[in-house]
Amino acid sequence: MKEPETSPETTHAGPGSRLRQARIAQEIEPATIAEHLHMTVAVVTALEQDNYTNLPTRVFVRGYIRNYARLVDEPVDEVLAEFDQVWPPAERPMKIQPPPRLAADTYPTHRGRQLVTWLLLLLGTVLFLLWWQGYLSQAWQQYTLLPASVNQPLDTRITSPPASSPVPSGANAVPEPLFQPAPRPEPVVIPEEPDSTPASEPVPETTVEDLTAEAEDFPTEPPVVTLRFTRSSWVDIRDSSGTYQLTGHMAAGEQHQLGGSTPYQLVIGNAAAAELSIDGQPYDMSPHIRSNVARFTLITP
Amino acid sequence: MFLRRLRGIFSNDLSIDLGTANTLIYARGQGIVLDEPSVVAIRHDRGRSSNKSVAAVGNAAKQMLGRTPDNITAIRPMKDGVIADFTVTEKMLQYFIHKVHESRMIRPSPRVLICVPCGSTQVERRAIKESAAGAGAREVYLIEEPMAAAIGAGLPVDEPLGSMVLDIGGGTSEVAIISLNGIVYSNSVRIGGDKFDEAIINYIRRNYGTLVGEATAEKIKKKIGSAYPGNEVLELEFKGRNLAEGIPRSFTLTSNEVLEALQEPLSGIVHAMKKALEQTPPELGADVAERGIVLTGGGALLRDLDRLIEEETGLPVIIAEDPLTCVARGGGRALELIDEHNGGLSVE
Repeated sequence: MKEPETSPETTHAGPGSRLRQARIAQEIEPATIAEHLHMTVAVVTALEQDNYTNLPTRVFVRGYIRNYARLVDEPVDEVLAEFDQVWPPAERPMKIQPPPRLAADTYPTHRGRQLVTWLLLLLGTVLFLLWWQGYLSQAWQQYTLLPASVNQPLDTRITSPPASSPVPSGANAVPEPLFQPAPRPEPVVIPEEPDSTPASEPVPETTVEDLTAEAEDFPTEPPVVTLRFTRSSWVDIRDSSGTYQLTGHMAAGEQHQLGGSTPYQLVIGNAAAAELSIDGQPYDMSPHIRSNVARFTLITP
Repeated sequence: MFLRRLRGIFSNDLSIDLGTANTLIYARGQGIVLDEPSVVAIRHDRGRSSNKSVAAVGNAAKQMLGRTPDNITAIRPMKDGVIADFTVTEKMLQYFIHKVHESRMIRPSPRVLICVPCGSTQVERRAIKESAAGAGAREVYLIEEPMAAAIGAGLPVDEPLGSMVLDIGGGTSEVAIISLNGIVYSNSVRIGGDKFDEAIINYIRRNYGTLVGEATAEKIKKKIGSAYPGNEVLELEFKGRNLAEGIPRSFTLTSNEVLEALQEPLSGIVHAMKKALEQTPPELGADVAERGIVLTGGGALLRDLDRLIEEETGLPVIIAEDPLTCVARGGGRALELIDEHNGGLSVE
């Protein structure tokens, strides 16, 4: 059978025409090609026309073209490269679509899970660093307040309650200052009938709540806290807001009235040389003195 | 357990073609990330303890094959597609899994899909599963090699059409008919690249009275090996130890001689193919006859093997694109399908 003069109209500009020309040059009939390749003539014709519509999936068509090229002594790699341009890998849709995905089947992708976990870990690290930074600065602040000679643990020195709560003279008129934290080892005993208590007996200890309630009956003006030094000393006093600060060396005879707002955090060096008074009443610091350094928190109503 | 899952988030899902000759790893989203020989060099420490340690794995170990001193043994822990040495296989897998995650700060714990021969027993499959779990895998799936090969080759395994695939690996050759995501028929013969090498070694010893090693035989197979007589005859000069003289001698082998040497293993594969076609249901057989047989695996690269099968079966035979990596790529695609459809494939 003679080949037609005009080439068949091709669907794509693929390797078909090249294969066909090589076949014609060798004077081979399509039926012979089909016989050699164990295919039908229709498939050979479709390959020559680059019409892959009725052919199987890409892997088969690519294999047919490879075998055809080898049979007609065409360079296989070049022919396959032409085919790959016409039909790139994984472009043909599957005849059976994958089953529809239900809402219950939708899981976050691996990348999504990875991203979320990274973010959570990052958040955790940032929170830990923030906490650690705060812890360090607090520890440093407390460390800088200590004289070098003191080697007791910070917590025991700062938070240890006084052995006994002192009651200054004239405590009936002025509410006594409180020390914080000051958990008392023994339960507070409040007399049921305060009127029956003899005047000579010591004033019973009261709780913070009681004193706060009592404080509401007093004038709202803050008490005057005065610090006087008989010999040279050093102090570090800060109020609760952080605006007022009294630090540094104090000369003998120097006197300071504390400003700012209560409570105060006091660290007084050479405590034996310091005298503290509240509204003119002297305050006994001796329970808070260790190694001649007084540390305590002073709360005034 | 929680830590393992956490580590798993930072690991890539892997598909491993744990072959007798080569191990290939396909990482999801990255492609083939490892292709190394399944060889491990073991060092026997001298002294009282007589401990064993891994001296090299993969390419480095393969270079040692047949060239090791007394205290080092280069071994191939896989034989005929299944585990021959459990401990060494575990070490090898551990090394490969770490190698593909070496840029990671966190120790990997990936999901792993391993391709197994369809002829492997439950005990052999369990050994592979446990070996991978021991190597650090979080979850281990198994898939039969022909199914993975068909998916990797791009066959329409999900369609109601019969697709026939022949995967010739290092230790086994697997032939299967696949339709609707399942294997309709499969057969595995313990003939593969290793048997080709062995046949060449035996041929040279018998006809030339010369002994050559596995590496030389493999080189001969790759350079001038042929499965069907062609128009041109190739020649290769190589060296081996003459058995009579005990001295290394060089001689020349032709492609026709290699073809003659390979006749026995090749006829075994062809026989398996014919048996598969006999056992195939007629409708699926008609599909195969219309479209053809697809060859995958390293054995498909043997010159003119497709022509031999074409002549023997009278059916079109097609060599898949990049046949060496079909199984690993198909396994990777199977992992994606497991996630997408929550099953549907015959994966254990």
